[in-house]
Amino acid sequence: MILRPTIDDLKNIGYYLGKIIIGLGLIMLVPAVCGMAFQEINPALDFIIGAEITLIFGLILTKICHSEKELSWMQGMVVVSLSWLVAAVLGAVPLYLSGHWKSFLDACFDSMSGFATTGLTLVQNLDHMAYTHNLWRHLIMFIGGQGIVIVALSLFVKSASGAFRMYVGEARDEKILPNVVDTSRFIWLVSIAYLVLGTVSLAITGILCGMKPFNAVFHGLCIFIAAFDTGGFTPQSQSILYYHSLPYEIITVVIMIAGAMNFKLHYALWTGSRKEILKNIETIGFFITIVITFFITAVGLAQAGVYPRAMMLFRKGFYQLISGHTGTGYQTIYAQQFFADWNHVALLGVVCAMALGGAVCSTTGAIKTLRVGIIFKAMIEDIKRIILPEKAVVLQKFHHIKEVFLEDKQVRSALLITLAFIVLYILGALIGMFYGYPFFNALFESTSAAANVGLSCGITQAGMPVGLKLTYIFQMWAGRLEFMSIFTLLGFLVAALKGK
Amino acid sequence: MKLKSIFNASLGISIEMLYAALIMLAAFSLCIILNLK
Repeated sequence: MILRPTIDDLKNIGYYLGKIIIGLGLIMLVPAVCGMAFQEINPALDFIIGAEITLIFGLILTKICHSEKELSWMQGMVVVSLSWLVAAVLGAVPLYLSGHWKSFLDACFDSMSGFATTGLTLVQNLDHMAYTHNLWRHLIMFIGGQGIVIVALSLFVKSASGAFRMYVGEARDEKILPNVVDTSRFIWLVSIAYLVLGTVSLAITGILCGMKPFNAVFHGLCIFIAAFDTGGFTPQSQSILYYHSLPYEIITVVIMIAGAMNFKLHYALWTGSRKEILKNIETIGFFITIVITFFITAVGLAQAGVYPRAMMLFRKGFYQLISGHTGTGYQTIYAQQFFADWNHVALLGVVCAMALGGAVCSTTGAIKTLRVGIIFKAMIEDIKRIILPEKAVVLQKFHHIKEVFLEDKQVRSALLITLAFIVLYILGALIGMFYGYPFFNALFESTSAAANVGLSCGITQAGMPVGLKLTYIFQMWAGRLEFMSIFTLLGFLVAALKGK
Repeated sequence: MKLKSIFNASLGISIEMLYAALIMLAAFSLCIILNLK
Protein backbone atom coordinates (compact mmCIF):
# COMPACT_ATOMS: atom_id res chain seq x y z
CA MET A 1 0.00 0.00 0.00
CA ILE A 2 1.31 3.45 -0.89
CA LEU A 3 0.80 6.13 1.72
CA ARG A 4 -0.45 9.47 0.50
CA PRO A 5 1.95 12.28 1.55
CA THR A 6 0.64 14.35 4.44
CA ILE A 7 0.41 18.13 4.69
CA ASP A 8 3.46 17.96 6.99
CA ASP A 9 5.47 16.24 4.25
CA LEU A 10 4.59 18.96 1.78
CA LYS A 11 5.36 21.68 4.33
CA ASN A 12 8.76 20.21 5.07
CA ILE A 13 9.62 19.96 1.37
CA GLY A 14 8.37 23.49 0.73
CA TYR A 15 10.33 24.90 3.65
CA TYR A 16 13.70 23.47 2.60
CA LEU A 17 13.03 24.29 -1.04
CA GLY A 18 12.25 27.86 0.02
CA LYS A 19 15.58 28.08 1.84
CA ILE A 20 17.45 26.96 -1.25
CA ILE A 21 15.56 29.50 -3.36
CA ILE A 22 16.47 32.28 -0.90
CA GLY A 23 20.12 31.20 -1.24
CA LEU A 24 19.82 31.44 -5.03
CA GLY A 25 18.27 34.91 -4.75
CA LEU A 26 21.14 36.09 -2.57
CA ILE A 27 23.70 34.75 -5.05
CA MET A 28 21.95 36.75 -7.82
CA LEU A 29 23.05 39.86 -5.97
CA VAL A 30 26.70 39.02 -6.80
CA PRO A 31 26.32 39.75 -10.55
CA ALA A 32 24.10 42.71 -9.67
CA VAL A 33 26.92 44.26 -7.62
CA CYS A 34 29.53 43.31 -10.25
CA GLY A 35 27.32 44.90 -12.93
CA MET A 36 27.41 48.16 -10.98
CA ALA A 37 31.20 47.87 -10.75
CA PHE A 38 31.47 47.17 -14.51
CA GLN A 39 29.22 50.21 -15.08
CA GLU A 40 26.65 48.00 -16.77
CA ILE A 41 23.53 49.48 -15.22
CA ASN A 42 20.85 47.78 -17.34
CA PRO A 43 22.28 44.27 -16.90
CA ALA A 44 22.64 44.96 -13.17
CA LEU A 45 18.94 45.88 -13.09
CA ASP A 46 18.09 42.53 -14.73
CA PHE A 47 19.70 40.82 -11.77
CA ILE A 48 18.02 43.03 -9.20
CA ILE A 49 14.66 42.11 -10.76
CA GLY A 50 15.66 38.43 -10.88
CA ALA A 51 16.83 38.48 -7.24
CA GLU A 52 13.61 40.21 -6.14
CA ILE A 53 11.40 37.61 -7.81
CA THR A 54 13.50 34.76 -6.43
CA LEU A 55 13.68 36.15 -2.89
CA ILE A 56 9.94 36.90 -2.77
CA PHE A 57 9.17 33.39 -4.02
CA GLY A 58 11.54 31.82 -1.49
CA LEU A 59 10.31 33.92 1.44
CA ILE A 60 6.66 33.17 0.68
CA LEU A 61 7.45 29.47 0.47
CA THR A 62 9.32 29.42 3.80
CA LYS A 63 6.57 31.45 5.50
CA ILE A 64 3.71 29.27 4.23
CA CYS A 65 5.52 26.00 4.82
CA HIS A 66 7.31 26.92 8.05
CA SER A 67 8.52 23.70 9.65
CA GLU A 68 10.94 22.68 12.39
CA LYS A 69 11.06 19.00 11.46
CA GLU A 70 13.97 16.99 10.12
CA LEU A 71 13.98 15.97 6.47
CA SER A 72 13.18 12.34 5.82
CA TRP A 73 14.97 10.39 3.06
CA MET A 74 12.09 10.71 0.66
CA GLN A 75 11.58 14.41 1.37
CA GLY A 76 15.30 15.11 0.89
CA MET A 77 15.27 13.46 -2.52
CA VAL A 78 12.16 15.38 -3.59
CA VAL A 79 13.73 18.67 -2.44
CA VAL A 80 16.84 17.94 -4.51
CA SER A 81 15.01 17.13 -7.73
CA LEU A 82 12.66 20.09 -7.36
CA SER A 83 15.44 22.52 -6.43
CA TRP A 84 17.19 21.90 -9.75
CA LEU A 85 14.00 22.56 -11.70
CA VAL A 86 13.04 25.67 -9.75
CA ALA A 87 16.61 27.02 -9.88
CA ALA A 88 16.66 26.54 -13.67
CA VAL A 89 13.42 28.52 -14.08
CA LEU A 90 14.32 31.32 -11.64
CA GLY A 91 17.94 31.51 -12.81
CA ALA A 92 16.63 32.03 -16.35
CA VAL A 93 14.83 35.28 -15.42
CA PRO A 94 17.87 37.63 -15.61
CA LEU A 95 19.13 35.77 -18.69
CA TYR A 96 15.83 36.27 -20.50
CA LEU A 97 15.73 39.96 -19.52
CA SER A 98 19.10 40.46 -21.27
CA GLY A 99 17.44 39.98 -24.68
CA HIS A 100 20.05 37.47 -25.81
CA TRP A 101 17.58 34.58 -25.80
CA LYS A 102 14.70 34.28 -28.25
CA SER A 103 12.20 32.91 -25.74
CA PHE A 104 11.94 32.20 -22.03
CA LEU A 105 12.21 28.48 -22.82
CA ASP A 106 15.58 29.14 -24.47
CA ALA A 107 16.75 30.98 -21.36
CA CYS A 108 15.50 28.07 -19.21
CA PHE A 109 17.42 25.68 -21.46
CA ASP A 110 20.66 27.59 -20.88
CA SER A 111 19.94 27.96 -17.20
CA MET A 112 19.35 24.20 -16.81
CA SER A 113 22.43 23.59 -18.94
CA GLY A 114 24.39 25.76 -16.48
CA PHE A 115 22.99 24.29 -13.26
CA ALA A 116 23.47 20.77 -14.63
CA THR A 117 27.03 21.73 -15.77
CA THR A 118 26.29 20.67 -19.33
CA GLY A 119 27.31 23.53 -21.60
CA LEU A 120 24.82 23.27 -24.47
CA THR A 121 23.59 26.75 -25.29
CA LEU A 122 20.90 28.54 -27.29
CA VAL A 123 22.26 32.05 -26.74
CA GLN A 124 22.19 34.63 -29.51
CA ASN A 125 25.07 36.98 -30.21
CA LEU A 126 27.17 35.75 -27.30
CA ASP A 127 30.20 37.76 -28.39
CA HIS A 128 28.43 41.02 -27.53
CA MET A 129 26.98 39.96 -24.21
CA ALA A 130 27.47 42.11 -21.11
CA TYR A 131 30.11 40.95 -18.60
CA THR A 132 27.39 40.74 -15.96
CA HIS A 133 25.28 38.19 -17.81
CA ASN A 134 28.36 36.25 -18.83
CA LEU A 135 29.43 36.13 -15.20
CA TRP A 136 26.03 34.72 -14.22
CA ARG A 137 26.20 32.04 -16.92
CA HIS A 138 29.44 30.82 -15.39
CA LEU A 139 28.41 31.37 -11.81
CA ILE A 140 25.42 29.05 -12.20
CA MET A 141 27.85 26.36 -13.36
CA PHE A 142 29.83 26.89 -10.18
CA ILE A 143 26.67 26.68 -8.09
CA GLY A 144 25.37 23.69 -10.00
CA GLY A 145 28.71 21.93 -9.96
CA GLN A 146 29.51 22.44 -6.33
CA GLY A 147 25.89 21.59 -5.71
CA ILE A 148 22.93 23.80 -4.96
CA VAL A 149 22.46 21.42 -2.10
CA ILE A 150 25.92 21.95 -0.70
CA VAL A 151 25.45 25.69 -0.85
CA ALA A 152 22.24 25.31 1.07
CA LEU A 153 23.80 22.91 3.52
CA SER A 154 26.86 24.98 4.25
CA LEU A 155 24.79 28.11 4.76
CA PHE A 156 21.46 27.12 6.22
CA VAL A 157 20.89 23.60 7.41
CA LYS A 158 21.75 23.23 11.05
CA SER A 159 21.57 19.55 11.83
CA ALA A 160 23.90 17.15 10.08
CA SER A 161 21.60 14.16 9.70
CA GLY A 162 19.01 16.07 7.68
CA ALA A 163 21.80 17.65 5.68
CA PHE A 164 23.26 14.26 4.77
CA ARG A 165 19.99 13.19 3.22
CA MET A 166 20.01 16.19 0.94
CA TYR A 167 23.66 15.48 0.13
CA VAL A 168 23.11 11.86 -0.81
CA GLY A 169 20.25 12.83 -3.11
CA GLU A 170 22.56 15.01 -5.12
CA ALA A 171 24.38 12.16 -6.84
CA ARG A 172 27.47 12.38 -4.66
CA ASP A 173 26.91 9.24 -2.71
CA GLU A 174 30.13 9.19 -0.74
CA LYS A 175 31.22 10.93 2.36
CA ILE A 176 34.79 12.20 2.37
CA LEU A 177 34.95 13.14 6.02
CA PRO A 178 32.84 11.78 8.85
CA ASN A 179 30.90 15.01 9.11
CA VAL A 180 28.89 16.13 6.11
CA VAL A 181 29.30 19.81 6.87
CA ASP A 182 33.09 19.31 7.00
CA THR A 183 32.85 17.48 3.67
CA SER A 184 31.17 20.41 2.00
CA ARG A 185 33.70 22.82 3.52
CA PHE A 186 36.51 20.67 2.16
CA ILE A 187 34.92 20.69 -1.30
CA TRP A 188 34.78 24.49 -1.16
CA LEU A 189 38.40 24.66 0.03
CA VAL A 190 39.64 22.50 -2.85
CA SER A 191 37.58 24.44 -5.36
CA ILE A 192 38.78 27.83 -4.14
CA ALA A 193 42.45 26.76 -4.13
CA TYR A 194 42.12 25.58 -7.72
CA LEU A 195 40.09 28.65 -8.60
CA VAL A 196 42.96 30.96 -7.64
CA LEU A 197 45.62 28.80 -9.28
CA GLY A 198 43.65 28.16 -12.48
CA THR A 199 42.44 31.73 -12.95
CA VAL A 200 45.92 33.19 -12.44
CA SER A 201 47.56 30.80 -14.90
CA LEU A 202 44.84 31.33 -17.54
CA ALA A 203 44.97 35.10 -17.03
CA ILE A 204 48.76 35.19 -17.48
CA THR A 205 48.47 33.05 -20.62
CA GLY A 206 45.74 35.36 -21.91
CA ILE A 207 47.90 38.45 -21.34
CA LEU A 208 50.83 36.75 -23.09
CA CYS A 209 48.48 35.99 -26.01
CA GLY A 210 47.78 39.70 -26.31
CA MET A 211 44.50 40.08 -24.42
CA LYS A 212 43.80 43.18 -22.36
CA PRO A 213 44.49 42.51 -18.65
CA PHE A 214 40.87 42.91 -17.52
CA ASN A 215 39.59 40.66 -20.30
CA ALA A 216 42.32 38.10 -19.62
CA VAL A 217 41.37 37.86 -15.94
CA PHE A 218 37.63 37.78 -16.68
CA HIS A 219 38.01 35.11 -19.34
CA GLY A 220 40.43 33.18 -17.11
CA LEU A 221 37.89 33.16 -14.29
CA CYS A 222 34.99 32.13 -16.52
CA ILE A 223 36.96 29.46 -18.35
CA PHE A 224 38.33 28.07 -15.10
CA ILE A 225 34.89 27.82 -13.49
CA ALA A 226 33.37 26.09 -16.49
CA ALA A 227 36.35 23.72 -16.88
CA PHE A 228 36.74 22.72 -13.24
CA ASP A 229 33.01 22.22 -12.83
CA THR A 230 33.08 20.32 -16.12
CA GLY A 231 30.47 22.72 -17.45
CA GLY A 232 31.53 24.05 -20.80
CA PHE A 233 30.16 27.57 -21.17
CA THR A 234 32.66 30.05 -22.61
CA PRO A 235 32.54 33.85 -22.84
CA GLN A 236 32.96 33.64 -26.64
CA SER A 237 30.86 31.76 -29.17
CA GLN A 238 33.93 30.07 -30.68
CA SER A 239 34.60 28.25 -27.40
CA ILE A 240 38.33 27.62 -26.77
CA LEU A 241 39.08 27.97 -30.49
CA TYR A 242 38.78 31.74 -29.88
CA TYR A 243 42.14 31.82 -28.09
CA HIS A 244 44.18 29.92 -30.72
CA SER A 245 46.70 29.11 -28.03
CA LEU A 246 48.36 25.79 -27.23
CA PRO A 247 49.23 26.75 -23.61
CA TYR A 248 45.59 27.75 -23.05
CA GLU A 249 44.49 24.35 -24.32
CA ILE A 250 47.02 22.48 -22.14
CA ILE A 251 45.98 24.38 -19.00
CA THR A 252 42.29 23.74 -19.66
CA VAL A 253 43.00 20.03 -20.20
CA VAL A 254 44.71 19.86 -16.79
CA ILE A 255 41.80 21.71 -15.14
CA MET A 256 39.25 19.47 -16.84
CA ILE A 257 41.04 16.32 -15.67
CA ALA A 258 41.33 17.72 -12.12
CA GLY A 259 37.60 18.54 -12.21
CA ALA A 260 36.74 15.02 -13.33
CA MET A 261 38.56 13.43 -10.40
CA ASN A 262 36.89 12.26 -7.22
CA PHE A 263 36.95 14.78 -4.38
CA LYS A 264 37.85 11.87 -2.15
CA LEU A 265 40.98 11.40 -4.23
CA HIS A 266 41.77 15.11 -4.01
CA TYR A 267 41.48 14.75 -0.25
CA ALA A 268 43.78 11.71 -0.20
CA LEU A 269 46.39 13.49 -2.33
CA TRP A 270 46.15 16.69 -0.34
CA THR A 271 46.62 14.93 2.97
CA GLY A 272 49.62 12.89 1.92
CA SER A 273 48.35 9.55 0.54
CA ARG A 274 50.19 10.06 -2.71
CA LYS A 275 50.23 6.46 -3.91
CA GLU A 276 46.44 6.50 -4.02
CA ILE A 277 46.45 7.85 -7.57
CA LEU A 278 48.32 4.74 -8.80
CA LYS A 279 46.05 2.23 -7.03
CA ASN A 280 42.60 3.77 -7.24
CA ILE A 281 40.18 1.90 -9.49
CA GLU A 282 38.81 5.21 -10.78
CA THR A 283 42.09 6.77 -11.86
CA ILE A 284 43.23 3.50 -13.44
CA GLY A 285 39.85 3.11 -15.14
CA PHE A 286 39.88 6.73 -16.29
CA PHE A 287 43.36 6.32 -17.74
CA ILE A 288 42.47 3.10 -19.56
CA THR A 289 39.19 4.42 -20.97
CA ILE A 290 40.92 7.59 -22.20
CA VAL A 291 43.60 5.56 -23.95
CA ILE A 292 41.05 3.20 -25.55
CA THR A 293 38.60 5.90 -26.66
CA PHE A 294 41.44 8.11 -27.91
CA PHE A 295 42.81 5.17 -29.87
CA ILE A 296 39.44 4.79 -31.60
CA THR A 297 39.24 8.53 -32.28
CA ALA A 298 42.83 8.76 -33.52
CA VAL A 299 42.41 5.78 -35.87
CA GLY A 300 39.22 7.37 -37.22
CA LEU A 301 40.89 10.74 -37.75
CA ALA A 302 43.92 9.14 -39.38
CA GLN A 303 41.57 7.22 -41.68
CA ALA A 304 39.63 10.38 -42.54
CA GLY A 305 42.93 12.12 -43.26
CA VAL A 306 41.65 15.42 -42.00
CA TYR A 307 44.74 16.24 -39.93
CA PRO A 308 47.82 15.09 -41.87
CA ARG A 309 50.31 16.00 -39.13
CA ALA A 310 50.55 13.94 -35.90
CA MET A 311 50.75 17.04 -33.73
CA MET A 312 47.59 18.56 -35.20
CA LEU A 313 45.72 15.25 -34.89
CA PHE A 314 46.77 15.01 -31.25
CA ARG A 315 45.86 18.62 -30.54
CA LYS A 316 42.39 18.49 -32.11
CA GLY A 317 41.49 14.86 -31.43
CA PHE A 318 42.75 14.71 -27.87
CA TYR A 319 41.19 18.00 -26.84
CA GLN A 320 37.66 17.14 -28.01
CA LEU A 321 38.06 13.65 -26.49
CA ILE A 322 39.16 14.87 -23.05
CA SER A 323 36.50 17.54 -23.19
CA GLY A 324 33.91 14.82 -23.87
CA HIS A 325 35.30 12.28 -21.42
CA THR A 326 35.42 14.72 -18.51
CA GLY A 327 31.96 16.00 -19.41
CA THR A 328 33.11 19.56 -20.02
CA GLY A 329 32.21 20.29 -23.62
CA TYR A 330 34.90 22.78 -24.68
CA GLN A 331 35.62 22.67 -28.39
CA THR A 332 38.59 23.68 -30.47
CA ILE A 333 36.74 22.94 -33.71
CA TYR A 334 33.43 24.32 -34.97
CA ALA A 335 30.30 22.28 -34.18
CA GLN A 336 29.62 21.54 -37.85
CA GLN A 337 33.15 20.16 -38.31
CA PHE A 338 32.29 17.05 -36.27
CA PHE A 339 30.16 15.71 -39.07
CA ALA A 340 31.75 17.57 -41.97
CA ASP A 341 35.40 16.60 -41.28
CA TRP A 342 35.42 13.71 -38.79
CA ASN A 343 34.36 10.22 -39.80
CA HIS A 344 32.04 7.94 -37.81
CA VAL A 345 34.88 5.94 -36.23
CA ALA A 346 36.37 9.09 -34.72
CA LEU A 347 32.95 10.26 -33.55
CA LEU A 348 32.24 6.86 -32.00
CA GLY A 349 35.32 7.28 -29.82
CA VAL A 350 34.04 10.66 -28.62
CA VAL A 351 30.49 9.34 -28.05
CA CYS A 352 31.86 6.43 -25.97
CA ALA A 353 34.02 8.84 -23.97
CA MET A 354 31.03 11.11 -23.35
CA ALA A 355 28.86 8.17 -22.29
CA LEU A 356 31.49 6.93 -19.79
CA GLY A 357 32.27 10.19 -17.97
CA GLY A 358 34.67 10.89 -15.09
CA ALA A 359 34.77 9.92 -11.44
CA VAL A 360 32.02 9.50 -8.86
CA CYS A 361 31.89 12.40 -6.38
CA SER A 362 33.07 14.89 -8.97
CA THR A 363 31.12 17.32 -11.12
CA THR A 364 31.03 15.10 -14.21
CA GLY A 365 27.86 13.43 -15.38
CA ALA A 366 27.34 10.14 -17.21
CA ILE A 367 27.94 6.53 -16.15
CA LYS A 368 31.28 7.23 -14.42
CA THR A 369 34.43 5.14 -14.30
CA LEU A 370 33.83 3.63 -10.84
CA ARG A 371 30.69 1.92 -12.14
CA VAL A 372 32.51 0.78 -15.27
CA GLY A 373 35.30 -0.59 -13.05
CA ILE A 374 32.83 -2.41 -10.77
CA ILE A 375 31.04 -4.01 -13.74
CA PHE A 376 34.40 -5.06 -15.19
CA LYS A 377 35.48 -6.59 -11.86
CA ALA A 378 32.13 -8.42 -11.59
CA MET A 379 32.70 -9.89 -15.05
CA ILE A 380 36.15 -11.12 -14.00
CA GLU A 381 34.63 -12.64 -10.85
CA ASP A 382 32.03 -14.53 -12.88
CA ILE A 383 34.62 -15.78 -15.34
CA LYS A 384 36.74 -17.00 -12.41
CA ARG A 385 33.70 -18.85 -11.05
CA ILE A 386 33.32 -20.69 -14.33
CA ILE A 387 37.01 -21.61 -14.60
CA LEU A 388 37.71 -22.59 -10.97
CA PRO A 389 36.36 -25.75 -9.28
CA GLU A 390 32.81 -25.46 -7.92
CA LYS A 391 33.89 -25.47 -4.30
CA ALA A 392 36.37 -22.62 -4.71
CA VAL A 393 35.42 -19.38 -2.97
CA VAL A 394 35.88 -16.48 -5.36
CA LEU A 395 36.35 -13.06 -3.82
CA GLN A 396 36.96 -10.01 -5.94
CA LYS A 397 38.19 -6.76 -4.48
CA PHE A 398 39.11 -3.33 -5.77
CA HIS A 399 40.95 -0.33 -4.39
CA HIS A 400 38.99 2.85 -3.92
CA ILE A 401 40.64 4.85 -1.12
CA LYS A 402 40.61 1.56 0.81
CA GLU A 403 40.37 -2.10 -0.23
CA VAL A 404 36.74 -2.93 -0.91
CA PHE A 405 35.31 -6.42 -1.44
CA LEU A 406 32.98 -6.57 -4.41
CA GLU A 407 29.41 -7.24 -3.32
CA ASP A 408 26.37 -8.05 -5.39
CA LYS A 409 24.52 -4.95 -4.27
CA GLN A 410 27.30 -2.70 -5.61
CA VAL A 411 27.20 -4.49 -8.96
CA ARG A 412 23.41 -4.27 -9.00
CA SER A 413 23.36 -0.53 -8.33
CA ALA A 414 26.17 0.11 -10.86
CA LEU A 415 24.32 -1.89 -13.51
CA LEU A 416 20.99 -0.20 -12.80
CA ILE A 417 22.38 3.31 -13.17
CA THR A 418 24.35 2.27 -16.27
CA LEU A 419 21.21 0.81 -17.80
CA ALA A 420 19.21 3.93 -16.96
CA PHE A 421 21.85 6.09 -18.66
CA ILE A 422 21.91 3.93 -21.78
CA VAL A 423 18.10 4.11 -21.99
CA LEU A 424 18.28 7.89 -21.59
CA TYR A 425 20.90 8.23 -24.36
CA ILE A 426 18.85 6.10 -26.76
CA LEU A 427 15.56 7.76 -25.85
CA GLY A 428 16.98 11.19 -26.69
CA ALA A 429 18.41 9.85 -29.94
CA LEU A 430 15.00 8.41 -30.90
CA ILE A 431 13.27 11.72 -30.22
CA GLY A 432 15.97 13.50 -32.26
CA MET A 433 15.34 11.07 -35.13
CA PHE A 434 11.60 11.70 -34.79
CA TYR A 435 12.31 15.37 -35.53
CA GLY A 436 14.21 14.39 -38.67
CA TYR A 437 17.87 14.38 -37.62
CA PRO A 438 20.12 11.50 -38.79
CA PHE A 439 20.66 8.74 -36.19
CA PHE A 440 24.30 9.38 -35.41
CA ASN A 441 23.87 13.14 -35.08
CA ALA A 442 20.87 12.62 -32.80
CA LEU A 443 22.79 10.08 -30.70
CA PHE A 444 25.79 12.40 -30.38
CA GLU A 445 23.71 15.34 -29.18
CA SER A 446 21.50 13.20 -26.94
CA THR A 447 24.52 11.60 -25.24
CA SER A 448 26.07 15.03 -24.84
CA ALA A 449 22.95 16.35 -23.10
CA ALA A 450 22.24 13.31 -20.89
CA ALA A 451 25.88 12.90 -19.87
CA ASN A 452 26.11 16.64 -19.04
CA VAL A 453 28.90 17.14 -21.56
CA GLY A 454 27.99 19.99 -23.87
CA LEU A 455 29.81 19.07 -27.09
CA SER A 456 27.52 19.92 -29.96
CA CYS A 457 27.42 18.76 -33.55
CA GLY A 458 25.16 21.63 -34.49
CA ILE A 459 21.68 20.35 -33.54
CA THR A 460 21.45 22.57 -30.46
CA GLN A 461 20.53 26.02 -31.75
CA ALA A 462 17.69 28.46 -31.19
CA GLY A 463 15.77 27.20 -34.23
CA MET A 464 15.52 23.58 -33.08
CA PRO A 465 12.07 22.11 -32.33
CA VAL A 466 10.51 22.93 -28.94
CA GLY A 467 9.96 19.24 -28.22
CA LEU A 468 13.66 18.58 -28.60
CA LYS A 469 14.55 21.50 -26.33
CA LEU A 470 12.28 20.04 -23.64
CA THR A 471 13.80 16.58 -24.19
CA TYR A 472 17.33 17.90 -23.69
CA ILE A 473 16.26 19.88 -20.60
CA PHE A 474 14.83 16.67 -19.13
CA GLN A 475 17.95 14.71 -20.09
CA MET A 476 20.27 17.26 -18.49
CA TRP A 477 18.17 17.24 -15.31
CA ALA A 478 17.88 13.44 -15.09
CA GLY A 479 21.54 12.92 -15.97
CA ARG A 480 22.74 15.42 -13.38
CA LEU A 481 20.76 13.85 -10.54
CA GLU A 482 21.52 10.28 -11.62
CA PHE A 483 17.87 9.23 -11.63
CA MET A 484 17.31 8.16 -8.03
CA SER A 485 15.97 11.47 -6.74
CA ILE A 486 13.87 11.83 -9.90
CA PHE A 487 12.40 8.36 -9.45
CA THR A 488 11.62 9.36 -5.86
CA LEU A 489 9.88 12.51 -7.09
CA LEU A 490 7.81 10.44 -9.52
CA GLY A 491 6.98 7.99 -6.71
CA PHE A 492 5.98 10.92 -4.54
CA LEU A 493 3.62 12.25 -7.23
CA VAL A 494 2.10 8.79 -7.74
CA ALA A 495 1.62 8.47 -3.98
CA ALA A 496 -0.07 11.88 -3.89
CA LEU A 497 -2.52 10.79 -6.60
CA LYS A 498 -3.13 7.14 -5.78
CA GLY A 499 -2.07 6.72 -2.16
CA LYS A 500 -4.39 6.02 0.76
CA MET B 1 51.49 22.28 11.29
CA LYS B 2 49.89 24.78 8.96
CA LEU B 3 52.99 24.93 6.79
CA LYS B 4 52.93 21.15 6.53
CA SER B 5 49.34 21.11 5.30
CA ILE B 6 50.13 23.77 2.66
CA PHE B 7 53.12 21.68 1.58
CA ASN B 8 50.91 18.58 1.36
CA ALA B 9 48.25 20.42 -0.63
CA SER B 10 50.74 21.77 -3.15
CA LEU B 11 52.29 18.31 -3.54
CA GLY B 12 48.78 16.96 -4.07
CA ILE B 13 48.12 19.48 -6.83
CA SER B 14 51.42 18.73 -8.55
CA ILE B 15 50.69 14.99 -8.51
CA GLU B 16 47.34 15.65 -10.15
CA MET B 17 49.09 17.74 -12.79
CA LEU B 18 51.58 14.91 -13.36
CA TYR B 19 48.68 12.53 -13.84
CA ALA B 20 47.17 14.86 -16.44
CA ALA B 21 50.57 15.14 -18.15
CA LEU B 22 50.87 11.34 -18.18
CA ILE B 23 47.50 11.03 -19.92
CA MET B 24 48.56 13.61 -22.51
CA LEU B 25 51.85 11.80 -23.05
CA ALA B 26 50.09 8.46 -23.54
CA ALA B 27 47.75 9.99 -26.11
CA PHE B 28 50.62 11.69 -27.92
CA SER B 29 52.58 8.43 -28.06
CA LEU B 30 49.53 6.79 -29.61
CA CYS B 31 49.57 9.40 -32.35
CA ILE B 32 53.23 8.66 -33.04
CA ILE B 33 52.60 4.90 -32.98
CA LEU B 34 49.82 5.37 -35.50
CA ASN B 35 52.68 6.48 -37.74
CA LEU B 36 51.14 9.54 -39.18
CA LYS B 37 52.76 11.22 -42.10
